[in-house]
Amino acid sequence: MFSTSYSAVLCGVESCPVCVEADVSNGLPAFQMVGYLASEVREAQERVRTAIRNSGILLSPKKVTINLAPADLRKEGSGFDLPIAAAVLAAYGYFPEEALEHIFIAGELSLGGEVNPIKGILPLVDGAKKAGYHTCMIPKENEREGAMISDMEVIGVSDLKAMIRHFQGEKKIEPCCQQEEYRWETDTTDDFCEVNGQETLKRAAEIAVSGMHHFLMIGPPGAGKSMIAKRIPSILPDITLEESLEISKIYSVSGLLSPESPLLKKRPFRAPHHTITPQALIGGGRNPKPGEISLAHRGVLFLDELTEFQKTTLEVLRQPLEDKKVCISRLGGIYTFPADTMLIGAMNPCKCGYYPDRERCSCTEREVRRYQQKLSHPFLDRMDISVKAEEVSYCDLQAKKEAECSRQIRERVGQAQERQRKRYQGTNFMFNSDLNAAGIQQYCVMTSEASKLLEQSFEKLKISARSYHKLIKVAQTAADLEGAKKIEKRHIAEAICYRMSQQIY
Amino acid sequence: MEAEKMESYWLWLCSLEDITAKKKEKLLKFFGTPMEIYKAKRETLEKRHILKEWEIEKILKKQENPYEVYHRQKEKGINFISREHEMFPKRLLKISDVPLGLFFKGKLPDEGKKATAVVGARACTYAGQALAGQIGEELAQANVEVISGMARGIDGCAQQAALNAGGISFGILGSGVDIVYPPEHRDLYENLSRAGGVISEFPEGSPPIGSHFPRRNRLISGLADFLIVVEARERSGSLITVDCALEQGKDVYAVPGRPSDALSRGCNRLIAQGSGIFSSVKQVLEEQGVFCENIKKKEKKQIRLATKENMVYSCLDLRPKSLQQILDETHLAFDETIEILLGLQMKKVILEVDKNYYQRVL
Repeated sequence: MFSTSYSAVLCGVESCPVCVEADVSNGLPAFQMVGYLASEVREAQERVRTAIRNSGILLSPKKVTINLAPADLRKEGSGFDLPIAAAVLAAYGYFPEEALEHIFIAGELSLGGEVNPIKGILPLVDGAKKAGYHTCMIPKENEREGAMISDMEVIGVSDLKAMIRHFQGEKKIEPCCQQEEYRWETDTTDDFCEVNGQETLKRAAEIAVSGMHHFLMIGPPGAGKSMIAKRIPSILPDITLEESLEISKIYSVSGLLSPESPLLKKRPFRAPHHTITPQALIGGGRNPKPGEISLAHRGVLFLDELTEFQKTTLEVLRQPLEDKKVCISRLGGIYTFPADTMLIGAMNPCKCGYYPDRERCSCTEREVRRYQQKLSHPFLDRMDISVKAEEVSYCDLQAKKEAECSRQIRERVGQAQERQRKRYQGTNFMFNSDLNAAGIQQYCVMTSEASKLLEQSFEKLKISARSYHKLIKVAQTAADLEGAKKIEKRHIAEAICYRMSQQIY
Repeated sequence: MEAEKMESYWLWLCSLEDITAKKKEKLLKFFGTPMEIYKAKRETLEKRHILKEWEIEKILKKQENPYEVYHRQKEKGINFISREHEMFPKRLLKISDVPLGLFFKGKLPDEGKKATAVVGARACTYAGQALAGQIGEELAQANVEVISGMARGIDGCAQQAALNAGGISFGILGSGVDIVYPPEHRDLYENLSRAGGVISEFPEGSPPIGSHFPRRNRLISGLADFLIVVEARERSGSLITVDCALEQGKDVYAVPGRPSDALSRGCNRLIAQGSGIFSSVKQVLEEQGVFCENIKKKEKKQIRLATKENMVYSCLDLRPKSLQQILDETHLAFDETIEILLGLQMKKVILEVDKNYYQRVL
């Protein structure tokens, strides 16, 4: 007898459909598996055979052949146990093989016959939906995660016996189709109202978030760079369900989703330590897994102590920051992970941290230069906004005046982003930082005063062509924050103030 | 011809590395001329017990004809002058520990002109740089030669400014004259060897090692008639130059500063110990009896600024101030302030010296 069940394999954050074919025939008793299998898939035969036996079914000794098609795609992961078991049992005739049609199956088996949860349910179920399935059978523990995909009947199965009874029609398992009530959360643990002083930094952070510009803070130790960065999540606008699914898929693949909250409720904020390897940052491994930059997709990647990172680690960020995705090529194919993130960096200006305050900094010019040269020019060139953090004075610290709280800032940021969304509707752009030269031409309108100022400063301050474009984008965001129709002179002035200066390179 | 031969033996003696100047002096005292040392036999050298075995080996190992070396270097633009030569700077003959000879590119200081040494910290403030530049420029206008060490910071600023103002300046190096140290001063080095000179007592190819610099400093003060110290920390190499100058009986002027500034402490201490106070180049030159009518009066910049611009401008001085400080002091709005700052930058009355740090232009 021959039967087929349907499953899929993860390629990056996408899934590729796989047919699990089982054939049971007379001959020398054997259990053979073919179809370009990784060792964890090959081991499935032991789990499947034992699980079936321990579920109370004695398979008669026959020649069993399993094929996972397409044969040129490498099969990885532990999710094939369940579809293999289903196909084998159908081939033995324990339930009609028609029962396996139009149903997507994934899950891992234990020797006792229980179904164990697997990673990457979200992309798998989403892939199944795209491939035209309306029903899927997944481990009970992954049920809620799978149910996040709309228009999908999700059957959570806890053990092999339950599955058999379901397919035999004896006892149908109720699909878990109610989608969770979704409430977005905002990070409120850290609030901007706790930051006294540092008005320039706060203002720059607001602009950076509004246009999703990459943001660099340079300053002495203890000035509050990390403090500001930690509060950035509290002013990030809510994510949409669409975005949340996109991010959750990445987290699902990495196994970072908890069964309790199968969907990310807020934008990610990732702050990897500076000892991170290039692979961990952009993703990698023999079967590539998303790195920190992908985990920060549609959110913030914060790199504290930028100069302490390995130079090669930072350099690998260059291409993903530009393309907003990571492409990793392996023998098995090219894996693409989304990486549309806002980068926030924090660093000291020199080894002791006090340059250019010559009273306290005794680093030689050369030491300062060597310290700053740890960051390459092309990398720094990708920073749209850079500000100098100041040491906080005592009176600022003691100020009774309550600083503006995150909620107020977030409202303004939300409005600014809304303006951008309206303007860029139907285009590839989402935020001002995404604009290319043609986009700037089309969308960024300046008053004549502003363009005059820009022209003057272009010559006098020796602004490069690349930073010229960045300048306009930042100015546009400043204008959006204000709700101005055109870019005014003051917006240009502000953008110039935020440019990456020549001193640091 | 004969004189050149003698010079080449002096050059040979100067180029003998690893033998201290003291020992060389002793040898000279015994043998009379470098040529005699060159031609001395092993027995004669050993008999005197001045040199160790390996040093004698070094002297006996004659690789190249000194005369050829002398000409080869000359072709490269590296001149040599021994202390017995009539063109040897007279000022240096007066110091104790006269160098055996000098290697130089360009020319030597003019005996008929006054020369001033301007020295100071390498890691200096922007205000210090600006002042050093002004001093260099005004000295050049007064036709006074500027002697310094071509180092980073004060030295380089003063020398570059003097050259820019059409003056003459000499860089005294702690390495061979063919070595540019610090490397970022290559332009300055080239300019010095064209309009002035680069001078060293160390032979071609000597690296800029630490022990060379104190010796170099005695030449800086030795070649100058008086010395101006712009910025110095409490323990500073510039103070070695000052000590040398005092030993050589030359006047020292220090630029006074606030007691709280680390970079002024060295200078303030000098003043406390009795050195002259620098208030302007004119004052110093007048005290030294130098004609200084040529110094152009700095035109007072007529800066007409709007009230708010003026507020920002008057809050700035020669030390860089951060944007945050300016905001705190003026209590102006953020966007207004940066617009004004940019405007002032356009008018070239202020300068952004570092990211978001501003200072006045002198």
